Amino acid sequence: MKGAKADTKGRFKLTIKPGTNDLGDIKVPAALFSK
Amino acid sequence: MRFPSRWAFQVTRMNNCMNNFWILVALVCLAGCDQRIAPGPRANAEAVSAIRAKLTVGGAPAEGEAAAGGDTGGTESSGWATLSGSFKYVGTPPTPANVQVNAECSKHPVVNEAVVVSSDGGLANAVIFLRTAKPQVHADYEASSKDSVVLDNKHCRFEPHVAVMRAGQPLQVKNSDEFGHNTKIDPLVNSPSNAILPAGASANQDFPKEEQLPIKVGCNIHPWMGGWIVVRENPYAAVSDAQGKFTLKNLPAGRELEFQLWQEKPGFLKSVEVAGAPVKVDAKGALQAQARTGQGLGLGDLRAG
Repeated sequence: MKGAKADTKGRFKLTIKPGTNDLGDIKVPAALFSK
Repeated sequence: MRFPSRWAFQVTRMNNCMNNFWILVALVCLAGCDQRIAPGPRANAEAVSAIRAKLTVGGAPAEGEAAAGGDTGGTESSGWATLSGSFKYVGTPPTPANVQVNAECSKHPVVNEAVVVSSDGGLANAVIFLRTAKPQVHADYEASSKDSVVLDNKHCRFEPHVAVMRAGQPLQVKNSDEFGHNTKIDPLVNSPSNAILPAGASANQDFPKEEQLPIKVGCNIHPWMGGWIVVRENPYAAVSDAQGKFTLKNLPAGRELEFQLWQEKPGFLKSVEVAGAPVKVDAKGALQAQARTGQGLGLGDLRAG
């Protein structure tokens, strides 16, 4: 599901299963750091 | 009268059978009354816990073999899991700026650490932590629950730049430099401190309560020095390393958990995009996803913004 957004405080929910769970890359845009 | 005599014979035979039955019952009782039942093997509580832990995860490999410890927090987990990932800076990373320092700090180059990006885009010093209150905590964390966390004044910077600890762990503030520092810590909930540390000295501070925000740390003598302390009530918090990678071990699996992302420059990462993943957004805008075992969540990229 592309373009899903979490709330305004960087919170997100997951139900993880036993074993190894890899979130992959959390991509942080450069624009966020220019503020 | 043939019928009554046959009937009488059958009744007599039935009575004989009943008598035999009751005699047999009496013999069994008599024999049984004299016997004492030998006590069977007693259950080993630890072994039972270990077996239950194995059974709980439904045959999937658990992270460690110890049973859960700590507060169950209501919903029971169904095993233990590791959550890993990597913060990636999308865009042209900033060139680390050298900081103007005084003479005593000039032996070692000091750079601005507000945004540290590796050559392949890994964002260092970003934080992921579990927000879910009172989660079930794996027993392996009990051993380190009172271990000191060290924050060192070294080469005119704080090492680590972002320290993560649990409420109740003591913080040891050290000064490994050859000159004095002070370490000013301003928590929101816990007591503030401002330790004056001569060369080689150290001081301890306790944080008995969780902090909702990372705590800023500074040195007034060397005002460019800055660091952060994350104090959580559970052990499930991690800081990304120099390559942007993080790992949270032995999380309670099988129940919904809420995480939060933070980096010192933007603060809480306002939004997260997940590409190509089985993700839905709840009424409060929080992402929800079902993780897959083994090969990873398959969430694709999380875009924070």
